[in-house]
Amino acid sequence: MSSTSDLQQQDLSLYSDNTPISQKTLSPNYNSLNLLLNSQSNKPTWLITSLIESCLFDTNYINKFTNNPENSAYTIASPRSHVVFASFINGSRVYSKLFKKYLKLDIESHQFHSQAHVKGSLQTLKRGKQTNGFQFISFLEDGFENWFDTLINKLEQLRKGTKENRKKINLFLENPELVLYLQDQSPSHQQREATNELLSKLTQLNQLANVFIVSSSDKQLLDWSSELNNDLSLIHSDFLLKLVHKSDLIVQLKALTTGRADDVTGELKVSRGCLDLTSSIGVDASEKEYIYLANKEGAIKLFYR
Amino acid sequence: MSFRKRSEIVKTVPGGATGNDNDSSSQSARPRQPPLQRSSFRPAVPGRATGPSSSAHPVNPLTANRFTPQIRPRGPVSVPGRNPVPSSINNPRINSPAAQSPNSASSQSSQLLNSHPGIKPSIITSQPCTSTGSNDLDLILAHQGLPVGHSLLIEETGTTDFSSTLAKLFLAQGVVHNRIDPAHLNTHEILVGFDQTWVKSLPGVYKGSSRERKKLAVKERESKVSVSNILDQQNQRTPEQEKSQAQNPQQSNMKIAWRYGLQKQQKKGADNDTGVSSQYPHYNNQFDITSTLLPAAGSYDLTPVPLAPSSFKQTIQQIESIIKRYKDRLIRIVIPLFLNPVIYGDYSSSEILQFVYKLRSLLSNN
Repeated sequence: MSSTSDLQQQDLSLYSDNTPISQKTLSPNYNSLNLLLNSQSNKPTWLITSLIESCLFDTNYINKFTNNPENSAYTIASPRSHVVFASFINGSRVYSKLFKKYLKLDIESHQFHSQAHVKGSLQTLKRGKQTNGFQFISFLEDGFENWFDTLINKLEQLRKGTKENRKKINLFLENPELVLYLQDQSPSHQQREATNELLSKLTQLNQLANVFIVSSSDKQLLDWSSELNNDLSLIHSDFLLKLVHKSDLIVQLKALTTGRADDVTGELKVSRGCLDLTSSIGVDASEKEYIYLANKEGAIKLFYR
Repeated sequence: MSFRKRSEIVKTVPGGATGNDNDSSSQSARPRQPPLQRSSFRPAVPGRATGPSSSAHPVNPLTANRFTPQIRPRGPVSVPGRNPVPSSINNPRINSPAAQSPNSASSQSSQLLNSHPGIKPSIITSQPCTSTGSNDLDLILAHQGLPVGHSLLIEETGTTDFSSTLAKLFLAQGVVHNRIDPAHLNTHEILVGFDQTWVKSLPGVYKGSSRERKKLAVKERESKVSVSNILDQQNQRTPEQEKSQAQNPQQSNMKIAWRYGLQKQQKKGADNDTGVSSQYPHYNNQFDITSTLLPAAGSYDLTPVPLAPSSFKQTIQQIESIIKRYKDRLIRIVIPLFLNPVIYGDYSSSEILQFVYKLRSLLSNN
């Protein structure tokens, strides 16, 4: 059997025009909803970083040991498109090293880290410089109680700023389903209503920006046979199934089905969502399967499966 | 045109080094030139102490002034008309960017991370790490410890209870760190769900096998100066031993030297195994789970946080207040037997997740 060292490295392309983020998805006419699914053993940190880089600078650090987005035609003050990254599960510490290394962004500085903990007010949000194309919000650090208001305010502000330049906003939401888990226990029909409410909020956000939702797809979380009314697997399955029907593109990271290997970290599968993207913006998802290798320094190599 | 070997030319240079100064045969064959002539060819290196050979001969004041400039002592120099330089400028820790930042909490935490004897950087990511109390677990974690600000979930299936042993090792390591310097307590631990009685059975530091410990105890007893010890020593000496000692007085010393040699060898082996252990001698200890840590962990080492009967909110509030109280110390939180139905009552899944989420939030913010 051949190892990854014999294979040719491939660039990441999610769309039919062989780009990770197609220019057509950044058109103002249509806002796409994309789903990035991952398992517990295959974290999507590198994929998120790579997609953010494509959104901001139109470059990609995959298959490269060193990366300098400063060589790009875009800068953080004048990016390709704006990016707001909001994580429900991770703090800035998780991403700071990777962002510093490959995007040259220090998210722990006040310049990028939008403090939303004081009731999510506009005053605190203004602390982040409006000229920056990137904003990082951690609801783990700041509290998630007013997450929706915070994000709506942020997007509205950016839309005002970008009206002249016509720059698209990309919103990355990491594990928003935690909102459902952390709600107080309620009967099953109320729980379903809560899921619908969350989905309607995500739709509202999608009306203002391209949304990338990062969520878990572990087998343990996808179980319809549970007898308990408020089982987490039921809530998660319900949420994910409804989300799949609203999505344009699905990218899934999972472990190797054959077991563990030294030269392969996991599989990456790109597939179409339930919505037809071609009729909306004229570009389709390119359905492919890759295998990837992440080394200790955070460098990623990608190969066709 | 004649060709000569380079060594011959070098040898003919007055005072030139032959390339092998220690060669006694060459020294005996040729008279050695005085070092003064050599010093005139080569300038003295500033800052270096002059060797005994140069100090034995008079130094030419002209060449000495030319080649050895006067070196000013390092440190703050007072310049007339200027304010004196503050003494803190020479202290790298005070001068660090963290200390200059207005946020005193971050500077306090960075100071703690720099000065804590139980913290060392990860060998992979350079993140500050602390030991789990078990050297083997540290090695499994790849960072050689648990990165500060992170959590570790130990899942155990079956009827065994090894997780409690690991939890006790973690606690014991924190207590040992805290007692390194009694004047400056550096660690505080929070035990969730149990009271102080659970802590009484923490494992003690490994002090060798039982035989070694017995030997040590006997040695200690014998080393004490008492009338009975001196009498015993005199009685134990046979005439033959006294005779042999009189003939060879260095025999006993040799025995001690041999033992020291063994100890050094053992130390060398240990250093090779652990790599940077000599740089961080207090990072981790080896514990003996059959022994008990004495004196037991007290309120200055550890605070137990009991579980509230129906909600985790009070527990989280208590943990938060303890963290605030001991801001200048490394906090180690232990939750043994989490969600064991014997200890944990009827909590809903959302309550448990909220508790874990708040804990994660505390870890990332502190």
